Amino acid sequence: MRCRGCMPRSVPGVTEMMHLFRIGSALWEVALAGLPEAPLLLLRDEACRVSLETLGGAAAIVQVDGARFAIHLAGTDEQRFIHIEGEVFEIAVLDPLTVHAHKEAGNTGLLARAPMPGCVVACPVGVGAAVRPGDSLVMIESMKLEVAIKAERAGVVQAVHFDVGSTFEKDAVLVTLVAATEGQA
Amino acid sequence: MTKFPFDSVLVANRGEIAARILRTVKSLGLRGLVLHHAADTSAPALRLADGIIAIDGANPIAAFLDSGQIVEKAIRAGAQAVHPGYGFLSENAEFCRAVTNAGMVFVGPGPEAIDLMGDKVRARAFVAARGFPVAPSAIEDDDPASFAARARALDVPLLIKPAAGGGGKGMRIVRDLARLEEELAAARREGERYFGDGRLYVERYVERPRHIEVQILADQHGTTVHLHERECSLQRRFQKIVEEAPCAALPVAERTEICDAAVGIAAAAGYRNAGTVEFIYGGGSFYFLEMNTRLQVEHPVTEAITGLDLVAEQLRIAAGEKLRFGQVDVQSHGHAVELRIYAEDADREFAPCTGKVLVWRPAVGDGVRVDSGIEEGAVVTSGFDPMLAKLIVHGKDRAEALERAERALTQTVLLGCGNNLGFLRRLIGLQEVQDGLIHTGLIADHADRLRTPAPSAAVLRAVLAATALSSRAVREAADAVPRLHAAIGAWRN
Repeated sequence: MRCRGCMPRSVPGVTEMMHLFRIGSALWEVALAGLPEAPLLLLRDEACRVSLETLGGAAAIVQVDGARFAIHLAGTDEQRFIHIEGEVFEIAVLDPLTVHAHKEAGNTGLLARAPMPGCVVACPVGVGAAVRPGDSLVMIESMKLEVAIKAERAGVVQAVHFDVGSTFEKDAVLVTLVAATEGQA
Repeated sequence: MTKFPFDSVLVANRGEIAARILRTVKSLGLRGLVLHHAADTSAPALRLADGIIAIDGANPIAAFLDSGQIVEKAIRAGAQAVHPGYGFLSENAEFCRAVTNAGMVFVGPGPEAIDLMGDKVRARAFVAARGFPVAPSAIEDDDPASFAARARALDVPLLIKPAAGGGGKGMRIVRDLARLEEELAAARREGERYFGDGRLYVERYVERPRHIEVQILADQHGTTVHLHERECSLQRRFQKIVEEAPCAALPVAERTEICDAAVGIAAAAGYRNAGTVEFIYGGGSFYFLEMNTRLQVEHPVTEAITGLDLVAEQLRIAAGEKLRFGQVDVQSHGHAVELRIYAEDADREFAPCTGKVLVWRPAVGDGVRVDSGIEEGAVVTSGFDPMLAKLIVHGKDRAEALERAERALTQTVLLGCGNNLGFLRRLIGLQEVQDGLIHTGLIADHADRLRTPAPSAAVLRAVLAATALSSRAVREAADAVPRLHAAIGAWRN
C-alpha cells in the first residue's frame, strides 16, 4: 500500500472527491464510495470493503476486507483520535478546499505562497522531490483551519522556506520549485 | 479500632496522590479536605473530598508551595491534621513546623528529621559517621579551596550533585576529567537557580547502577520496621518510570543487608512515620544515596506485596498508635510492578503533551490497580507535573506481573492527550527487562528500540477506514462519487 502513489487519471471526478488525511507528517488521499450498502474505502491505488459499527462508550468495530479490529474513537470529524491494538493515532481530516499557489504575472506557478497568515503544520516534500500538479507541498494551519497548499504544475522542490511550527505572513513564499525538465515527473 | 485525635484531614496535594490519600482517610471514618487550584478542571480527588479549599498563586505550582496560605485556610476549614503527599511541601521542615504550631497534626516525620535528610551533604555525613556505606566522595563544605582537586582525585566517572537538591534534580555525570571545572560551574549555577543553594558534592559514579530503596515505617514509641525493598532502575534523566517490589535480582542475603541498613539509618535519625531510604547498587556493593522523608510515588508496589495500606499506617502513627505488627509479621507475597503514565511524547525526547482527556478507560482485571489523577473531560496543561496515573500490577511472580502489565497496558485507552502508554509496553517487552537485567541507563541505551514502530498496512487501513466512516464530510462526499466506481470495486495496480 503506497501513500500518494499513482492514481489512474482516466477516472473522472474521483481526484476532486478525495479528502486529505494527515497522520503525523504522512498524507493520505481518501474517499468513500458505495454507501450505504457496500462501503468502499478508496485510497490512491487501492480500494477495500469496509464497515464501522459503533458499540457505545467510544468503542467500535472496524472491518477492512474481512479483518476485524476492536477500537476506541474520540475527537471531532476534523481531529480524530483512534486507539487500536494498544497504539494511538491522531488523524487530521482536511477540508477538500485546497488553495493553489497565487497566480501572478511571471510567477509561472513556481512559487507557492501563503494565502493567509498561519503556521506550518507538516511538510510532506523535501528538497529535490519531484511533484506533479495537485501534489501537496505544505500543510498550513490558520485560525483552526488546516489547509493543503498544492503544486500548480510539475516541478522539483528547490527550497522549503519554513520549518514545521514556524509562522508566516500572508503571501510569504512557502516552497520554491524549479520547472521539471524533459523526462522528469 | 483507632481512636483518632483528629477528625478532619487536609490533603495538601492534588492529582492521583490526593485521590489515593482521600480514599484511605474516608475509609477510616475521617473527614477529608483537599486543596484545589483553578487549573485543575476536573479531578477524581475533588469528587472524593468532603471539603475543597481553593488556593491561588502566581502560577499553579506556586499556590501549592504557599505554606502560609495553606495553613491559614486549613485552620479556617476546620482541618485538624495535614497529609502533605509527595512533592510540593512534603519535605519542607518549615511547613511541618507551621502546621504543628497552628495546632494541627502533621502526618509525617518531625521537622528535625526532614531538615537532616533534606540536606544531602549533612545526611551523607550522618550516615557515614554511623558506619553505613556511602560512595567515595568529595564534599565541598569540608574544604572549598581543595574541592575541585579532591573531586579530580576520585577519577571518572563522577556524579556532581547539588547539596540542597534531591529527587534526581540538578545532577551531572562527568566522564572526561577535562570537563570537570566546566561541569562544576554549571552545576553550581543550577543549584543556585533551582534550590537557592550552589553548594555541591561529588561522588564516584557507579556504572550501570541499580536503584534499590527500602520502605520504612516507624511509630512514636520507638519501633522501626522495614516493608522490604523496591527496585526503581528504569529511569530517564533520573526520573523513575517503572518500579517493582521486591528486587528479584538480588540474593536474599544482600536484600536483608540493605533493608537492615535502612532500618538502622532511620532509627539512628529518630525517624517517625513513613519514609524511604534509597541506595545505589553496583558491582556487588551498595551505597547510601539519600533518604526521602515522605510517602513516595511508588508506595503501591509495597502495598501490593505486603497487603498493607501505608496511608492508614501513616494516619495511625500520627494518631500516636503503636505499630500493630513487628518485623517478623511483615510478609512479602508475589511480585508487583508499577508503570507511571505520563503526558509525554516518548518519540520526541519525552516532550510534555497537552490536550483534553476525551476517553479514559483504565485497565481492570486480576491483580490490576489504577491510581488516577484524571477523569474524562480533564484538560492536561503544562501547569503541573505530567504524571496522569499509575498502573500497578501484582502477580504470583515477576513473570506473571509483567504479563499482566502488558495486557493491562494494551487495554488502557487514553485518547485526546499524548502519553507514554505505547512506550511503556515496548519498555517492558525488552528482553533485558524481562530477564531483570536492568540499570538506570537502560532506557537511554535502548532509545532506538523504544520508538513507536511504523504501523502495519492492515492497521493503517483500519485507521483510515474508521476515520473516513466516522467523518460526516467524507460520508457526504461519498454520495457524489459516481456509482460506476462502486461497481468496479478495487482497481489494484
